[in-house]
Amino acid sequence: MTQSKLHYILRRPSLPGSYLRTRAHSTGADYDTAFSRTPPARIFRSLALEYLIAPVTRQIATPTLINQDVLDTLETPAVIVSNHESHLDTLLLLSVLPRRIRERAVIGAGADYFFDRRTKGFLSALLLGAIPIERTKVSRRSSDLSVELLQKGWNLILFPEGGRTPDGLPQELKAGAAQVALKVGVPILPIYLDGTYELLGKDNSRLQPGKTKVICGKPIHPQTGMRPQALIEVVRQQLEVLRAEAATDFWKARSQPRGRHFPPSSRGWREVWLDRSHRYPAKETSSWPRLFGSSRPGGRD
Amino acid sequence: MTARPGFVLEVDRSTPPTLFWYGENFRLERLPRSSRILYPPEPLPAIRDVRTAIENALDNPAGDQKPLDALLFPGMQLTIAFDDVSLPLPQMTAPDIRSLVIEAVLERAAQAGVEDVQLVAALALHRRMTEGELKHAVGKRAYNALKPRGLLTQHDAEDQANMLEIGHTDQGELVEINRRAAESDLLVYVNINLVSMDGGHKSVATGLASYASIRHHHNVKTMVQSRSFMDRHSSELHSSNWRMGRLIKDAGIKIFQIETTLNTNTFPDSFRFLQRREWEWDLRDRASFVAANGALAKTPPALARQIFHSIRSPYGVTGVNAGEVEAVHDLTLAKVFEQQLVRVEGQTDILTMGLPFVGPYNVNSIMNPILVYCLSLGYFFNMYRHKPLVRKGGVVIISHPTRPEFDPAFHPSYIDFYEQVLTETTDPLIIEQKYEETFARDPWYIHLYRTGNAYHGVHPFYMWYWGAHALDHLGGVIVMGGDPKTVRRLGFKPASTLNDALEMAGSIVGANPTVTHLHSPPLVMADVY
Repeated sequence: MTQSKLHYILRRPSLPGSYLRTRAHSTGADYDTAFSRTPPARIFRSLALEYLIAPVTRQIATPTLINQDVLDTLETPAVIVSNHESHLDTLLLLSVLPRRIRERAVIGAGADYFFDRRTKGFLSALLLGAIPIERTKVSRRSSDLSVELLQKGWNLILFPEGGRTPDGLPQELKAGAAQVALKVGVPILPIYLDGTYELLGKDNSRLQPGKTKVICGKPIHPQTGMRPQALIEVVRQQLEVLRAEAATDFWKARSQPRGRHFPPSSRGWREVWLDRSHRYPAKETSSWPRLFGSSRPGGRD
Repeated sequence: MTARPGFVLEVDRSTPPTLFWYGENFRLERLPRSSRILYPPEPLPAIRDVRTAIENALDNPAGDQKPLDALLFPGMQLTIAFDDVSLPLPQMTAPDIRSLVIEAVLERAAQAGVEDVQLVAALALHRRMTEGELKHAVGKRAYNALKPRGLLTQHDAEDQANMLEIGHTDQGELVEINRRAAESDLLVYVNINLVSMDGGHKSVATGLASYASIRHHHNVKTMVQSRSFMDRHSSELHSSNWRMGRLIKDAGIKIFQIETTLNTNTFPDSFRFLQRREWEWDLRDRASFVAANGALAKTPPALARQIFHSIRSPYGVTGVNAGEVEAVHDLTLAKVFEQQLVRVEGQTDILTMGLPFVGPYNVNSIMNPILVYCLSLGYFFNMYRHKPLVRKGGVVIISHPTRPEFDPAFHPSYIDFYEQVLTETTDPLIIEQKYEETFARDPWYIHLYRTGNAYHGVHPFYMWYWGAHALDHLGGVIVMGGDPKTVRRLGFKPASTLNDALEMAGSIVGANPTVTHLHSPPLVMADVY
């Protein structure tokens, strides 16, 4: 028997394109991530995060965590929201969160990106605890799942910008995170991540190790009767201050709050240039090993 | 400590063997007694605070030019052009001096409220730079701010819609440059002047020009009359560029030229023996040489090439000058000559030179046989002022493996030039008349130049013209250690050892010839009287 005949016998025939696929419902927002919250998956994720993902991320991103006490005293469950500059953001957050929050956290991930294929969805759910969030159309499933998990005591990590920034500047916040927090009545904690865009921005194909800052804001406890838009506005104001603090310092961010709007009023090259200046100090150092003298900081003798 | 000046060493019985580059390796050769070796001056002291030097240059421009701040205003169109990957050699350690200058200019533009900014890599007919090369040249900050918005571009000499005809010089030379650069309220040009050929009006008149414009000076007649093209005042190549540059200025195009000079601190500490004079090699240098030489001899050429091309040079910046093109260039040239020039008494019968792994046109790529020809007879032969280092009818001996290897992505037209043109003739005049037009207009080469990373179809021809003055002047060229078949294809003679090469040269120049060696690295330029 020839090899091609054997191949034909062993391989399942592919479905015609026009055929209604019975398994089609299992990708995207409909992907079922329940398996990732079973004890074996949680133990596996905990070990992978503790001994592989978190140490490697800390090595690559060298995070400086500011206001750690907020995380230590945070009431759980909580909704944790952050700006979104890079794929590294999730890993960075997981690597700095205390174990008690991290091991009971799910992450809202774009259903169209992380769950478009079953293998990708499986790995995202297993390794990161990702749950699919519908970004492209209105759907109750994502918010219902989020509410259900919060009620069961899971922390929810969300990026309310709805996707990575294309240019390093923050984007408009969507109110979904606030809506969920209001519905369940849990606190919402803003965290500002600074520097991951330079490490692995949306258009970067290559990872560039460097330094990052993770600045925690104050937990916001939603008041009854508050509208989601009002709550997300409070989040936005906090993120605006934290963003200024990342570029300057605690005092300047609060005493001279002008200039760094979240999101900025326009997005030309000047905004990017002036806004990201703190990411490019005059003397650049790299923690990445480079051979043949390339690690020298400048063309000096 | 002040840098020791260059000098001419006369070889005697106690002179240690001399270092020759040999492609991706080195050779130690004993030159005959009474031979002369040109040692360049040691690297000049570098400017400690380069950023402040740049700010000073922008605030205090040379010649008839206002400070940069006075030229920037909201609503203006600003174009910043910069030298491409062919400079410096090898690439310098980060931050590249171009990136520091570009950042300083962008900072001022941002503060002045300039919204319409575009960066243009002045490629002329060179290959497009890769993303990594662009990021290194302009710096990560400028790259991240401008690239995603399409404001970091590369000059395309074949994009007729984006070329603007400025006019014709009094000699009838067509001047046609990048439309965006020409129509901007201000064109800032950021250059690196590694050798005295670079910079001046050549930056814009060649770097941002079209083939139709460049062909007026990149031809055999001009090159034969450029004696040498490293000496601007005796170079027809530069005279033509200066005519074009003045026409551009007269057309009202405002250029703010920023020229930078580097010292010759070319190699990092792991290769420090390359920077030292052979009799000053200590135990570590000698051990490093033996280890590197032995290891490289056993390393496959492709891997050795990768190792060498990953070297980043710890160049020091010796000068930053900004302002009006000609005034700036005079200051720049003085600094370049201070670093590279060595006074030599009299010409020689035989000139020896070792060729390194890299030239201006094979950064991150293969030094193919045509580039070997260009680097030796184009660049190294022309590293002189007043008179060629070798006499009329003399011989040049080159040390290079000269393998018949080509990079099909970067140098596609070189392959056809080698196979189709050099098999017919090596005479630059015939090559120019018979083949140039076909290669220059070939749509496939143009497509690769515009969309890939290929040199323009006409580029190998320019390489050949680059050596036209040397071919006209010399009695013969011998390649020591080169692949015989390839060397003969170039019209040269192969020899396996230096002694063989000297014997062969003797039959051309006569008995008891004088021998002079151009010691490289680093770069050296002979001032011959």
